[in-house]
Amino acid sequence: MNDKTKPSAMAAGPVISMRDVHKFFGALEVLRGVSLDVASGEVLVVIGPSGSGKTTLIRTINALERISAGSITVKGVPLAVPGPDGRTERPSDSAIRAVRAEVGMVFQRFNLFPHMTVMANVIEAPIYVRGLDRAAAEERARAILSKIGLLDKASAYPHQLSGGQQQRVAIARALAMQPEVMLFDEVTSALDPELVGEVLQTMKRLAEDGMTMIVVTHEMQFARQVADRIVVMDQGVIIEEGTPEAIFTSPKQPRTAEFLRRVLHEVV
Amino acid sequence: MSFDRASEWWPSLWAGVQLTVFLTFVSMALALVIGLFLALAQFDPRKRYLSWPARAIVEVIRGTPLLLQLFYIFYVFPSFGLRLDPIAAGIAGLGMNTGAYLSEVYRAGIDAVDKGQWEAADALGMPTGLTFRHIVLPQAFRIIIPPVGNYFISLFKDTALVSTISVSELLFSGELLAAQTFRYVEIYSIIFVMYLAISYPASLGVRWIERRLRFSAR
Repeated sequence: MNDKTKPSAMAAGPVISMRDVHKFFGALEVLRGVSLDVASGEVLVVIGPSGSGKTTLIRTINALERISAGSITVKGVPLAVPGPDGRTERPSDSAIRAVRAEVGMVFQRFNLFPHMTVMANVIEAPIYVRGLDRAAAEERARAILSKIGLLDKASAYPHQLSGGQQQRVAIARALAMQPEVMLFDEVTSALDPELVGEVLQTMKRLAEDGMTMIVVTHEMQFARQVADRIVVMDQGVIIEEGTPEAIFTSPKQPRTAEFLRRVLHEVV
Repeated sequence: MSFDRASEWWPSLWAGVQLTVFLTFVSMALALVIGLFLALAQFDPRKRYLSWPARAIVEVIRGTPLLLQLFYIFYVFPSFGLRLDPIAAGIAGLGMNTGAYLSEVYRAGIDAVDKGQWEAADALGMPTGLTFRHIVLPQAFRIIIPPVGNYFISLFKDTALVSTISVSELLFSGELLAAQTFRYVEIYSIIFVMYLAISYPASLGVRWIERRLRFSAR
């Protein structure tokens, strides 16, 4: 592993590159050979039935899940690569942290730090991981919070906010690290229906600003409107990928059609 | 029963109370630190060179009587070359003992912090030590404050055991007075009330904190 590889030197290539990724949980193979490139500025939406491996897929990208075989590089930094014997080596802690600082993640259940104010949540990692001084971190946080319309909640605690507001703070917290890529793991699934819109709106604006995003979601309307490309997963493999029009209007795979028929009917 | 000479007993009883309170606070401070180290040492089971000794210490302390531990420190350690004066031996014994129990409380508190908190910190690139200090321990502390308060009160009462190694805390002072004056009924009654006069308000205080924490919880 070459630590001197400068991410900027690789800017022309894909931001994320996954090759033949396999992941086992015990005897269960959750990812069965996934290859995927994500370009800078691309909004990739991952859909598929539950248990298809979508969540595991994006969790491998910042090493919340270690892969069993294959390779992943993020901005040219190898997160998991085959070692000399061909088996996937465990990435070093420093490689993992370097990647995580570039990859923001938003979770289904927000995972805000409950003992900290909104402001403290947002500036924690910029100060203690990026080494920003407090004034600069707060200024950055205020800019982000005002953009998502939550500046007036800066001194509130998470439990004083609605679920939708909490999730937007979680997005702000990830953005404060100025990541290259944002991962969204079913971020609206734990929300009351009337709160989903504000979170999707925030994500949509982020996409318009050119953020590279990988979004696992069941919100088909969002997928259709915002995605540059849609990836359909089933049983641990990518069964189909294409533009939203192609996937929604003329899916090639019967399983894609079947899945879409089911979720689109549920929505009614 | 007559308390007419209570004012003569008071100075030595009061000195005993002071020493008891001193022993309680110093032993508790020691126990809080020992408990944290014993808990953190067991956090990563793969680091056996840390987790096994810590586990062994906890099991030995929990598996033997405190009184025996005090005797061991005071009477047996000197033959290994470690000679402690009674107060130091008492603090060491009380602190180690309570620390072992507190380590289990800490462990439970750390475990009780939502796993999502670790994931969120990991995803932000925060190293483990930082996550412990800024994210997990502050939340664990809130969870463990009530049980720690109860151990604190237990410790206050357990300090009476160090009277057996001639530390002149409250009970020991009372024993001396009683032996000199033969006023066992009066003196032990006064001591009884004195322990209660401290521990009961303290336990009310712990309950109050417990209630406050519950209301301000998420």
